[in-house]
Amino acid sequence: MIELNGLTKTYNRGQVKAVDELALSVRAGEIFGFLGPNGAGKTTTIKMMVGLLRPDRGSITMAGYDLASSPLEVKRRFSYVPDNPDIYQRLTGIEYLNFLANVYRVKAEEREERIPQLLELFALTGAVSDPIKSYSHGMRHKIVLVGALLHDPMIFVMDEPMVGLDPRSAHHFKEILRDRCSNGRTVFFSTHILEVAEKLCDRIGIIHRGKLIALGTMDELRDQARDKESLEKIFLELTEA
Amino acid sequence: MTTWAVWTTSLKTHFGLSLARYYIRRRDIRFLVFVGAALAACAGLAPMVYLYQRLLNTAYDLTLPLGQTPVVLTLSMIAAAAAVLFLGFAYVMSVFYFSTDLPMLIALPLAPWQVLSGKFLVVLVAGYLTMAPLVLPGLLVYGIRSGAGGLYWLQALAVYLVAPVIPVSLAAMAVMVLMRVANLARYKDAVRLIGMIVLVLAISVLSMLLARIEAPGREAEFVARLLLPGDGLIVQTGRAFPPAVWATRALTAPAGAARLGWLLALAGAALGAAAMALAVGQHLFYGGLIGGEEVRAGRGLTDSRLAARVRRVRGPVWAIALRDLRLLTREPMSLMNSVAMIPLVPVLMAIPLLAIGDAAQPGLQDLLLGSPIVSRLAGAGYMAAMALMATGSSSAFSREGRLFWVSRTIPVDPKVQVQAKLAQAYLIMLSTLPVLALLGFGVARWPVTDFLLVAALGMAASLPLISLSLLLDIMRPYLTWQNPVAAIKENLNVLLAIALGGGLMAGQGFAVMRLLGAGMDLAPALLAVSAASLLVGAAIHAVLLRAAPVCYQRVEI
Repeated sequence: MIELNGLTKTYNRGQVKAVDELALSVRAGEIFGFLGPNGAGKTTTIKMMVGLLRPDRGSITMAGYDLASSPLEVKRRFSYVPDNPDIYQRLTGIEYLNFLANVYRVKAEEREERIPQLLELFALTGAVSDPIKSYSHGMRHKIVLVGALLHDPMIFVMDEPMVGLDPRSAHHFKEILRDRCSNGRTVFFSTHILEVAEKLCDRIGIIHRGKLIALGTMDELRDQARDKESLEKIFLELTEA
Repeated sequence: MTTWAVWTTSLKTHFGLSLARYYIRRRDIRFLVFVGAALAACAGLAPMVYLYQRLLNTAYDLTLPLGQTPVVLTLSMIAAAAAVLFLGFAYVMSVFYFSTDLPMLIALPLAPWQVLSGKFLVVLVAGYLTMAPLVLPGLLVYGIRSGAGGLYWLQALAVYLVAPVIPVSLAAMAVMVLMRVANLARYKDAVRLIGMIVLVLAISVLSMLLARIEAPGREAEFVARLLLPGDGLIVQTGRAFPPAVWATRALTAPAGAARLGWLLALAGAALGAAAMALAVGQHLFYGGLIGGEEVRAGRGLTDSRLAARVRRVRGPVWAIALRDLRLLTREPMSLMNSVAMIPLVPVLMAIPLLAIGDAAQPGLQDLLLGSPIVSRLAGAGYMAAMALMATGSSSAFSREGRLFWVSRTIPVDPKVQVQAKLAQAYLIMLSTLPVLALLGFGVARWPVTDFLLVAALGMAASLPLISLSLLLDIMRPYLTWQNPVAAIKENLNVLLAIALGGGLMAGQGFAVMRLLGAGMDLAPALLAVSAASLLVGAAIHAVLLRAAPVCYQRVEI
């Protein structure tokens, strides 16, 4: 479902390699966790995947379409959740959702079914007619998540989607992701919350200084590390200076 | 020391000085792009500055026999003060109250006046940039033509540094009072917008009253007073803003104690105004700032109303245009600069005409009613000018700021998104119609067909201007602004669009006049220029559509 081949992004005329020859593939129905220390290249990779940054080299294929040659076909099939949920402050929640539903061409009957359901699930029904400016950080995050789920995409690409969510919303969100993946959808997300990655992900990739240094299921990662107690220990060992 | 740190940090963050140094040190191409755009904007302004200096030179020639050539300085000082004051309202509001660093600054152990002084300095530096094209030509024309010595140029520098302090201080005090009052109101944004409009109108009316010519029956006495004394004309010209007279005298009074005295008087007044602004700020600034971003909670939606809202399906063009329009009209400063100014500009232009008094009104009526061409061209010209000046299109992409990622990730072709921006610009243009109707039906007595013809010409003449504005903005959108007003006020694309679009507009007006001069009737002439405008507009729009996908792809956020 997602294929990254030789993905490279450099800054300062090639002096700083943010992402270095990254190659990985994520299968349909899989939840893939993307881990790494600060500045490892997670956000850069995600931004290249959703078309916000141009790779210097390499290719990105999602849902069978090449991002460089068929960007609109790819964009129709994924949802992107950025790490910063500060979206249109002067729109109301419902205006934001309607905007996304319009640009993703979600049918009226599907909107009628999904929007109230998702709002209810994330406890946003009472605030949906308020300006987003009046929302707390967590509420903004939740309205972005509702927007991302609205058109039922084949692929979710998310940068730190759990940060700022209250435990109930985080629980619901994880359930939704599990449910969507059991229906063949694919999730690619970065996180610093290792517990979430350990419990939720089918496979995990660890990126360090732009290079993918570990890839596999939890069991496979344990085999790669001396200290096999937890993902945290594995992570610390693999990303040691 | 602490205040100094606030000042330097404010200047560094607002004008991107640290970032510029970082780019230079790393020899990053982005710095050269910025410098190139700044030079292009200067080049764009060059024709207007050229015309302005011609005007000042003519004023110099006319006043030479009267011995009142320093009026050139007074004129340029007044023009600069007016520009700094009018632009200052919006700028002060955005820098003082909507900068992104304010939440961090408020939490620091600083007195309100310390935070305020940093912001004041930012507006002051912006004031220097604003007044440069207005004051520098005046200083140069007078200095060169009068053969002024070295002392003049030194004092000119001092006057230049002091000149914007008073208008910035006045704008700061007015805005702080307004924001304090607005913060108490339920509908804060509405009060801010209305207050801003009232401020602009009040300043115009006040200067009109100050400059108003003498009472009827005393004209001869007035003219004599104007011509006989050494600086009667200067005093009369500077009545709307007396510090302009002091600045003139600080540069032209007999060298020695008198000249230094005027300079000290000007500097003292400036310091006093700044101190007063800071003192007012110490009491009002935080009161207008803290809680100013709070918004009223809505009443929620019932299930049936939510279902009704959700059911409204729209196409991507309309969805994007509506999003942009909502964001524009709900941001008071953007609304002021892009929509409210459309009816405001004719009112501001009418005020000086009223200042001339009753004597001017028959002449004005003759001009509008006597010649069908003038009023109709004025109507279409107004629409086209507003398409250009209202900045809705020249900042259409920049206003998205860091949220441009949304436009980059939605599955809508950039060409379609450009169409949405065009639709949004034309929706803003609709707000010219009430003023046009007032001019057409209320003043000039047009038949309905002529009104429609003029409206069509205005719309057609706007197409190349809007397309050009969009093209300039998409080529290098300014997305890293710290407050929404900066997307308009600090956006070189806006300046470039006004400069280049002004040239296009002049070409349209010239074409109409040539056709009429060649004996063509009004209606065919207007139709011919409309058709030509549409063709030029279509050509620019075709370039815009070709450029859009490339430009969208190039922007990295």
